[in-house]
Amino acid sequence: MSAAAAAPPRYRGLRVDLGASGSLIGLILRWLSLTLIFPIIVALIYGESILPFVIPLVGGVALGTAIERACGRRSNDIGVREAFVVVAVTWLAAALLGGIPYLIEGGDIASPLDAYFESMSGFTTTGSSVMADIASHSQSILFWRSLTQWLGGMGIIVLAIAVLNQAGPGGKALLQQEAPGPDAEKLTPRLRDTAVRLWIIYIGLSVVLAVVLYVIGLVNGREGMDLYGAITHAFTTMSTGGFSPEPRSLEAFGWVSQLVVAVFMVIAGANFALWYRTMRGDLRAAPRDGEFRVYIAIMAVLSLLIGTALVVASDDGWLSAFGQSAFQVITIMTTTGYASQDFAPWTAFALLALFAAMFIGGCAGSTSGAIKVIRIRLAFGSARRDIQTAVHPEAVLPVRTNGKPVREAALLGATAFIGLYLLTFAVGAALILFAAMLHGAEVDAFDAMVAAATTIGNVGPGVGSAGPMGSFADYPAEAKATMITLMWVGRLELIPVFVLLTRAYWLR
Amino acid sequence: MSPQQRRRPGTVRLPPALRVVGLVVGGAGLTIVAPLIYALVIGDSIRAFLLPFGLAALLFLGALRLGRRIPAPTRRESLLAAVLTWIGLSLFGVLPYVLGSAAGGAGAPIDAFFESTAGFTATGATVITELQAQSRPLMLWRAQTQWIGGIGLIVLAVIFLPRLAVGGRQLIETEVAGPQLEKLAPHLRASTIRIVGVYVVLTVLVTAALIVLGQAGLAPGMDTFQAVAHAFTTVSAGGFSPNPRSIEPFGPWVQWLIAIAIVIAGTNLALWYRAIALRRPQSFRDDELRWYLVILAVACVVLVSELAIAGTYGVLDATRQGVFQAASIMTGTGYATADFAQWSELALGTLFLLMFVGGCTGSPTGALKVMRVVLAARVVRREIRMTIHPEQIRLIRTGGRSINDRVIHGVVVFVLLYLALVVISGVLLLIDPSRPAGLNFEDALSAAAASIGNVGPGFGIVGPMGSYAPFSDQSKVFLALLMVVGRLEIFPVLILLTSAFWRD
Repeated sequence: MSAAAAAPPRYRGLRVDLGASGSLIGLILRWLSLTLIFPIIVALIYGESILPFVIPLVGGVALGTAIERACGRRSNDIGVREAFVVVAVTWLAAALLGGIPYLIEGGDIASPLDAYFESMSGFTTTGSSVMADIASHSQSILFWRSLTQWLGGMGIIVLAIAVLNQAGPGGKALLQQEAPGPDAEKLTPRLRDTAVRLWIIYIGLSVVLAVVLYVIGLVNGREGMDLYGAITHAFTTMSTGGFSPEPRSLEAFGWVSQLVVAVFMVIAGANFALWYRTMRGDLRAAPRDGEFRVYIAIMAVLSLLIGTALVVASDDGWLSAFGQSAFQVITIMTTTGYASQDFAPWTAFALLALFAAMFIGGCAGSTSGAIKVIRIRLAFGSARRDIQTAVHPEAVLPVRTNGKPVREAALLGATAFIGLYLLTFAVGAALILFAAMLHGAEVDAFDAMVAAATTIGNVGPGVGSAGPMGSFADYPAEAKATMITLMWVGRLELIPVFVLLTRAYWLR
Repeated sequence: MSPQQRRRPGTVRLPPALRVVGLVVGGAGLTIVAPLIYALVIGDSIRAFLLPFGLAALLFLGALRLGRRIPAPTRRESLLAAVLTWIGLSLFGVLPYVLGSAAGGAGAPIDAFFESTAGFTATGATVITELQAQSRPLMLWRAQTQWIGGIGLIVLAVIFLPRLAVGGRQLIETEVAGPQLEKLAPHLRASTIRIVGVYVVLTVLVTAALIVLGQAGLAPGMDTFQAVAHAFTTVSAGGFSPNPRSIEPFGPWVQWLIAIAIVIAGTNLALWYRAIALRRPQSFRDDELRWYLVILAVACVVLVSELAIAGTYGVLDATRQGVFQAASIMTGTGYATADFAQWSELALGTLFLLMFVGGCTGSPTGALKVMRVVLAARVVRREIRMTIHPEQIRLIRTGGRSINDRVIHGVVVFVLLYLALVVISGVLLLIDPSRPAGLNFEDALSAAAASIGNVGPGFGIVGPMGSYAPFSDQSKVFLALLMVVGRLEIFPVLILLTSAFWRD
């Protein structure tokens, strides 16, 4: 690479600086590998084998360094265009690295594809599992599983920007492409400060949750969590991930723990910028926010509807029925996916309402997945406006959020996103269904649709054999591969991945 | 007319709207004279047609005479009139079925309403289980309702929806077809008449061709009655057939002929007028037409190869069945040449997607329309590209013209609204406490999509050889209303439900 000193060595006709991109990916991979130290500590405490973690730790650092060297250590040269490929590939690579511990441990995760599925489900905070028997896995493996969700929740690239301060001119684009929602809100003018603050709030809330859960466990005894349970559940609650080291998920714990977890899921599904402002003393930041209010309202309405359906259909008490329905709506809509009860036998109406909630998701700037409340609001707003202008053709009516008119381009962006999301979902569901038919698996069209919705929305549980107490272990390999892709595409909110598929991105 | 002279949009008054409804329903109702005469000729009972004929005459003359002092409807009143007209037509159509149905027909008022709505909206869904037991004049009337509905659609599509400026229709008619339409005829009214003219000519040609095939012995059972009935429901993309096994028994010749006619009926009929009457064949170089044919061709290839590979049919039969069903479902006709509910899931999935596409604008077909699908795809493509170059302004074009963002937005919102309506309706059908036994999620979704898209048959129990009879009364009324909503392209009905419409 003789030209490296003068100008970036670009391949003829290629518009993307692959060297700089590769260099940053290698750098992130190297630092990400170091997080494997935490499960090693857990393994040492519980006297379990540290081999599943040491191998990827050493391998990841070595590979990351090698890639970085090979690409010429130019991770500061990232531009807007490179941001897309960096974000897309980093998430694929992170899941690859994170899957190695499962593969080495073995057990009921037999194939590399299963390990990749579990790992991608972790980093994307989906929470779908192929572990048929969770109890058979070691504590350290289950700890790593929860940790991957926590790392993926706020975003591994946001973390990299916060820790490394290495992003260069493309940093804003990196943040933009990874952060959920149409616009990444800048908390501070400096990019690194924003990343640092987001992570501080995230860590702070997680610590608070872990302490509260631990204290409840001390008071409540067997119905509560021990320190291990408190930490792992704090990880997967704040990231809206939904993995639980308990085979029966949250059903194993008392209602106090469930209530606390529910409250923190709601917090994690809201915009973290609101919590930043709340901590700065603006206590009314959240209640005044339009998106937050709609978010709460949707959850309330869905909980009431499903609760009523449960009261009518079963002989449960109304308190238990509404409690269960509220917990399920919160866990599905924030795309967490914990189970407090097996909802598979619920009425068709309740199931369909939960299915619909899978598409909604939380607020922009949260750790949740799916379409996001703000986009749905904008789509509704523009439909309403179209109807109004049909009656009053002369009226000029902007769609507003929080009192401010929304740019027309942003409106179009939101509706187009919803369209693309639904299209991707439909294609995914069809592929899963075909794969199941090909292998004669017991998956009907509704199961396949739920499997696609739950993975593209990063929710977690499916229905049928893949219900909240089950797993996707029985799905054929092609279906699993489709679901891995959907998780990845869904976590990055489609556009960064689809951009990579256009000619205009790569070539002059 | 200067803006000052224009009437201030006041509150909505009923008489001008009702006058239009009376004129249209009465006028369309008078055509019941055709089955009446047919019944007299073949010596059948005229009981079913005499009373409706009297009622139609009363309505028409009443609206004509009493209404002379009623002012012309305003924009909002004509909107109300359009919605009420469709409901009025459907209600009027109830009478012949109630009076003239044999056992296994649509004799119950709710069934009659369903059948009548499926007729006038050119949907083609049926609740009649014993088609062969029904009288021929009644079956002629059933086919005729679809043909009349087809004319209504053209009027709606050319004159009415563009003025409403919702769902991107303003683009579809005025911005794109508009300037050319201007050249085509000085006034919209005249161009409507011309498009209806193409429609009539096409009907006559199809009838003649069917009769010729029948005479030549190439189509067993194809007499003049069958030819007329099938021409009516082919050209209108309706899909009612007086035969229990639809057009399966007529054999391949008729099926190929009808397949071609359906594809033509799904195109923008204005193109044909321009190309043939104005001798401008270059008008076929149309963006929407091209994509219509591309989508259709892709669907045909998928279906034919799936059917041939799965061994459902031999290669020749697979080609005929695949092409016919792709065209029939995409244009929302809904004839059957085979019970496709028995086909593989891949084939069914393809047909299900086609249900949403529909034909071209300016055709009597339903669903989203090719233009909207194409534009929505272009918007998504632009969004992806704009992510790389946010500062670059890219215009969305069709036929060399760039399109205003507001219009594009209307298109995307319409597509989403349409999908949401299908899903919500499917769920509502599924949670009906007295739903038919064995109705699963896919069947319910397909029934909703087939009703809103005015296709007709769905999958499972509502498949092409089945019927909607097992649904409960409330579900039948709901499905009938969905057909009207789908026909009117959703927005007009939504607008009526806003308070702003009724207030000053």
